[in-house]
Amino acid sequence: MWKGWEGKLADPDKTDALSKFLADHEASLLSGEGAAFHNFALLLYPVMEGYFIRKFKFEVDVARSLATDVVFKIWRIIGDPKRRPDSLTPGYIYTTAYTIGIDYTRLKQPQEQPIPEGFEPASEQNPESSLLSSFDVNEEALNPKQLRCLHAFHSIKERYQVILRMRYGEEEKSIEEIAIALNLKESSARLLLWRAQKAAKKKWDEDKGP
Amino acid sequence: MNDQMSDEDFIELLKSSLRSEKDLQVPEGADSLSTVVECSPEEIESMHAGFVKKVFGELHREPIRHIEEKRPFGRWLETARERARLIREDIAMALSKDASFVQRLEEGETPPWELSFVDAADIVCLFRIHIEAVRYLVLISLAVSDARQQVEKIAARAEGELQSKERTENLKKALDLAHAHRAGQAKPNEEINKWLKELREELQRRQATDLLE
Repeated sequence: MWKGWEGKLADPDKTDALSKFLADHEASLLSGEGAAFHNFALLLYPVMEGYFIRKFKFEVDVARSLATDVVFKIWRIIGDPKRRPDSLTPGYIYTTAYTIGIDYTRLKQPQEQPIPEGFEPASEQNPESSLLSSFDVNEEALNPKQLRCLHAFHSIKERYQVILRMRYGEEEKSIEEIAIALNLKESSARLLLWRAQKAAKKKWDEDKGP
Repeated sequence: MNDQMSDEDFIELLKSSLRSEKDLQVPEGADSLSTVVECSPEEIESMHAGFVKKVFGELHREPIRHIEEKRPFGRWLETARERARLIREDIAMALSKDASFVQRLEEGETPPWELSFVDAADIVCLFRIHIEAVRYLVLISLAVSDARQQVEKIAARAEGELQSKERTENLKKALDLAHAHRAGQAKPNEEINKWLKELREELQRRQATDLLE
């Protein structure tokens, strides 16, 4: 659970239906109970639609389609036993949505936003920095490097994300603790972490573009 | 942007990014999570239908062509739904029907050949069942339907003995599967052949070629 969200969930004034549902039904959801997921999904659609419209200024049809993608991705996560320990926090859901929004924008931008006349890219211009700065994100908290790093992080295998988050996230687990949590030998946990780091770094390098 | 980042520097960046990530997810304004757009139930159902289609698209990337199990059509749908961790309401929304429609179908109260070919095509497309597999399942349903009357008598007796609804359903399911296992496929009759032909034509109209070839 994100520490930053525990406070929010504890504050009834700032708790919305989705957060409350997660707090009340997390176990049912993670156990794969169909009815719990059904109710959760129906709550999530309007929240996600609103998120995509407000955060990314997407059209309603696009926002709805992407809201479906978010629900689908969460369905997959719930079905993946390796993903269960730290899935389904509001923070995770919003990160998933954010990644989907960025991916959609990246995919669509060349078609929908023609390069203005007279536009000349600076020689060292990062192709993504202008993209990211156009989003309504909390730039005081996250700089473009961090945003791109997160994008690389969310592009790698979920198993890799889990171990990186355990090791370098707020929990900062030791290799021994990770091995216990993932039911691995310490040597296997170490190897998995190394591979995860390499995968994230590779993605980061690839995302730099030409 | 620094083009030469060492692994150590990248790990430090990753640490700071992961630890700041929660700030990214909190929309501006403490209560903005409550900024939920107004959606009608129909709009939500439409989104959910899209999700259910994605689920079966993921699970059945290739159309289901060969079915090993001897199950009637409805019971096979039920098993596929349960494997997808979905409930009847999910399927109902994807088909624009109510849950009782799905229940009757799964339990064999509505045999497949009593479905309109449009409804049947909706189901076949959703679950991505190849027409040959549909034929196989339908012929098992036909074989089982002869034994349905006996099943219903037993179920009715069970209800009379104040058995739980769940137990009655389990009993019916077990009997369906036993009959399917024993009887296998029936020989197609004229009604079944006509229904399959109409279904095939409907799939052709929808250009669902992967379910036909």
